[in-house]
Amino acid sequence: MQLQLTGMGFTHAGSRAGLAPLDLTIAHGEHVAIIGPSGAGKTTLLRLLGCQLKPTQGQYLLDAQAPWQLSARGLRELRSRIGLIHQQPPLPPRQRVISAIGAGRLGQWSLLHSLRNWFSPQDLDGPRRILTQLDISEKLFERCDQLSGGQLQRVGIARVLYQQAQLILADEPVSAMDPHLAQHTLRTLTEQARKHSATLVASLHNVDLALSLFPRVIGLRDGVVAFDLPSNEVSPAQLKALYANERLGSPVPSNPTVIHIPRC
Amino acid sequence: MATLRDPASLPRLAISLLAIVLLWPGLQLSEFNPALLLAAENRQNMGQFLDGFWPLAHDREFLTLVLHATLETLAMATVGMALAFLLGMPLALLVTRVLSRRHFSGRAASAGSFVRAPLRLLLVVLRSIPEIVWALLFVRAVGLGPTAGVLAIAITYGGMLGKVYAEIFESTDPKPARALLAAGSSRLQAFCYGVLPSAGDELVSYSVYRWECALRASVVMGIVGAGGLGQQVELSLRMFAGAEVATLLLAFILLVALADGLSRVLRKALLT
Repeated sequence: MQLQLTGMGFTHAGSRAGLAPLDLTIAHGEHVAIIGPSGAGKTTLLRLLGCQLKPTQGQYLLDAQAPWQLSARGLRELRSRIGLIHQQPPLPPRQRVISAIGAGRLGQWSLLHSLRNWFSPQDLDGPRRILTQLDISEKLFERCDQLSGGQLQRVGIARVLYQQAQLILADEPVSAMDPHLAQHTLRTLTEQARKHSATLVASLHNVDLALSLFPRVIGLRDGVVAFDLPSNEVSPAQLKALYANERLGSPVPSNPTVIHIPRC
Repeated sequence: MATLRDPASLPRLAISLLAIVLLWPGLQLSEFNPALLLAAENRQNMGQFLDGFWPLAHDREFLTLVLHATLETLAMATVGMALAFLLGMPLALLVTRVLSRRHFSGRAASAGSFVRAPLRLLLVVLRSIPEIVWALLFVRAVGLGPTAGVLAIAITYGGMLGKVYAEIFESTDPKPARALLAAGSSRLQAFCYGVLPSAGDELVSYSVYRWECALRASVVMGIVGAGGLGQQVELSLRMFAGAEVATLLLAFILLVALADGLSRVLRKALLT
């Protein structure tokens, strides 16, 4: 999918800072990483791109279509082609992994088929193949509340891969994994996205991963794009500036950002 | 050294006194007088009636009647609950806010909230009229027999199930369902995959408990002519046949104990 943002911005109803109007074009099949300090607006941007939030200003075009001018049915159809990977995958604790992954295709299934699949999963091979790539195939029939934070994140990724989304939006998809696993998982995600020529936009805390696995990196701070460069042109000084103010600007660590992954 | 005193004793005394002060007028108003039970005449009446309890009525003809009445009560409660489920579940789905589109996307107020308010009112009306009143109404409408009881249970319990189901749905984490809606699933699909897995146990557990209640309620409704054990109890009471009443009560106790055991087994199986 091709994304085109023209002066698109978002202001929260409350006092919280939103996203300053920005212009951005992401080509079909492009892979982009978004980095920046906590609270920079990365999640807001991803939710806007995923048509979960309606921009308060500017224009957003997906494949030259304005999502918020579509009918309810059209918007649903569009959303079924968008996959959002959450930092804390919202999965019911008592749901089994197989159903959690199968739910990725609900947008493509008829009600009858989804009920049948709910009763007894119809496709076992598809989810298992994806879990094998993510190295947790043995968890296929486990319940979600028996998984660790990192395993849960991989189930969340597996759901979107199973969905075969054409636009994959990932919000800190590997934050609960150890560095080695994070790299493996993220590489799998990019490979799969490339294979299905899906557009991939991922927000990441790990700058090294962003620079090594993504050809294009956007730095976001306080809702403003700090830079938008090919990853080999991002300079250490720019990275320092992106994160520096955060430390200097808040001498009293008000809320240490602990990445909390509950078991579902 | 001052004597040690329990700091909680004074508040406890105060609460006890308050309770007595509040309860005393209630006792007066309800004309509750235990001495009446012990009055010589009443004691004699009770004694005669209770004397008739033993031996239990156990002739073959009466026992088949009891068996039939028990099965009728059981069927009345079960069919009534099934109908109540068919009534309550769709109402709960319509009333609950979990699946409301407005709550998840930035769209303006939908027609949903205008539909939800009258439906909530309907649920209130359904369950605020006691089943015994519905039973009396239906006995007038469809005549004596279990049909009236089934309809009464279906309506009252449908209202209760609708309300409680909706509350159970709303108490579950809405994020899974919203994530599914955001990935293009329909609301019913999001319900099945996002809400039911979390709410399922509680739904079944509550429904089984309600079925138990329906069983007891169907006996009470029998007394106003809605069939089953209750109707038999009423007939026997009217004929001062203590032995028959005793047998019927025993059958009823066994039935409730059975339901209790069954629901405990079911819930235990679900919660593990």
